[in-house]
Amino acid sequence: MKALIFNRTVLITLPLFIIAVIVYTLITQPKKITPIDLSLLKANLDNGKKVFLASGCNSCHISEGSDNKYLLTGGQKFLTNFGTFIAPNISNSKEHGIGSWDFSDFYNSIKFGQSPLGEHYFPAFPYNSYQHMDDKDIYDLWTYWKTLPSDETPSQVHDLVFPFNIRRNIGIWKILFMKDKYFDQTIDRSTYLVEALGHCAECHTPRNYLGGLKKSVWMKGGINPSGKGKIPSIHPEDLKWTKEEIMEYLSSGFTPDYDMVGGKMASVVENISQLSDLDRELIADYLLRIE
Amino acid sequence: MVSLTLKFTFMVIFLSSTLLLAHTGVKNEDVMKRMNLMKSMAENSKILGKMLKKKIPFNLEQAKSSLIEISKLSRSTPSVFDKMAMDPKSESKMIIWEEFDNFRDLSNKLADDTFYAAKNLSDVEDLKPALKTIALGCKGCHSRFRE
Repeated sequence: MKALIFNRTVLITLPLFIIAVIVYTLITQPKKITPIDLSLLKANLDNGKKVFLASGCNSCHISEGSDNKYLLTGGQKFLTNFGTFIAPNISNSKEHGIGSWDFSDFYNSIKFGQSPLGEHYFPAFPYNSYQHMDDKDIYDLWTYWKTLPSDETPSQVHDLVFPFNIRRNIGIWKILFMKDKYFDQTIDRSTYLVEALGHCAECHTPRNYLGGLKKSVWMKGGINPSGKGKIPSIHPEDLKWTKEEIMEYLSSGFTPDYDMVGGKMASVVENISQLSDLDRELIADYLLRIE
Repeated sequence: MVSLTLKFTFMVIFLSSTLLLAHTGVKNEDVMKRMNLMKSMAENSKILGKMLKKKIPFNLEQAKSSLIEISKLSRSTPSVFDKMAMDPKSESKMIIWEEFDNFRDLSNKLADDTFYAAKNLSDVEDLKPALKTIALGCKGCHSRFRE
């Protein structure tokens, strides 16, 4: 009798288990991506540098305390509920960085959060924002990137807790949270600078228990992943700065009370201060129109 | 009588300092001293910023005085951070005390730079580079040593 019940249980659960495995495998499968046709693109190094600065790659990828803002050694740690992410070496080292990549690899990492080996990147790399990046900007950024120095420091392995350490699971995360729509309805350069390149929401918007952005509290502040305290709200209801004050902050780092920017944001301001006045004005415009 | 007056004075000092601490939510007095010093730096920078943006009239003596004050505050910054004190409200990083020599050097550099900025200040045009000096000095320290 017991054997009969066991056999019946196996008969029912085994197909269900197999179906579950097939569904999991299918939905978490990294995309098959067609290589990019480069023939129509002509690189603009100056624009590549601007994209680099606006995207703030160095804010996370230079080593802690480094004075060289263009040496993307990695090593900075980001403590989260899922464990500790450690920024990898993305310098031009062929062995430890991304020096052996081609443009297609670079494009796929930015647009789809996918490695040359076809694995998902963890969304600590803000590809959820960068996916909006213009193809030409990615190409200019890549061309500029190739001019940056290499560093032979090996990347460290992320220290994450199960099941968040399984890259395959990020396929589910992407289905749930990686939408190719902007948050802001007015899609203009302001939106592009803040939501795509600047990826401000990645730190300034709170996240749910799976690490997805809570869009109902857009830019209302979040947990500081690289230290104690909170990342402040930059929603106009809370910030209450004028356009000129925001522009001043993004230019010099001075708040309206002449406190000075600190921590990771100091690097962000240093980058944005090298953009044009118009770009800083457009960023301010976006921040003031958030509802 | 003297004893009563002294007691009263102490009571007033104690109460006002308690109220001050309660107001900001900072419990540690050493941290409070640091915060007050930083606040004074910001207030002096704000005077210069307002003059530069023509929100208040340019006054050479006042501008020089603010720069000298920032220089003095910068010079005394390492001494208020000498004791490793922390508070939930503090934004100081532990790395300050791990790299105290670097921290002291940066503070002293700002003190020197603002002193020379004061010495060379002659008109409103000089305010822009002076404020840039302050911004670079503050940012250099805050990016490494502040949350």
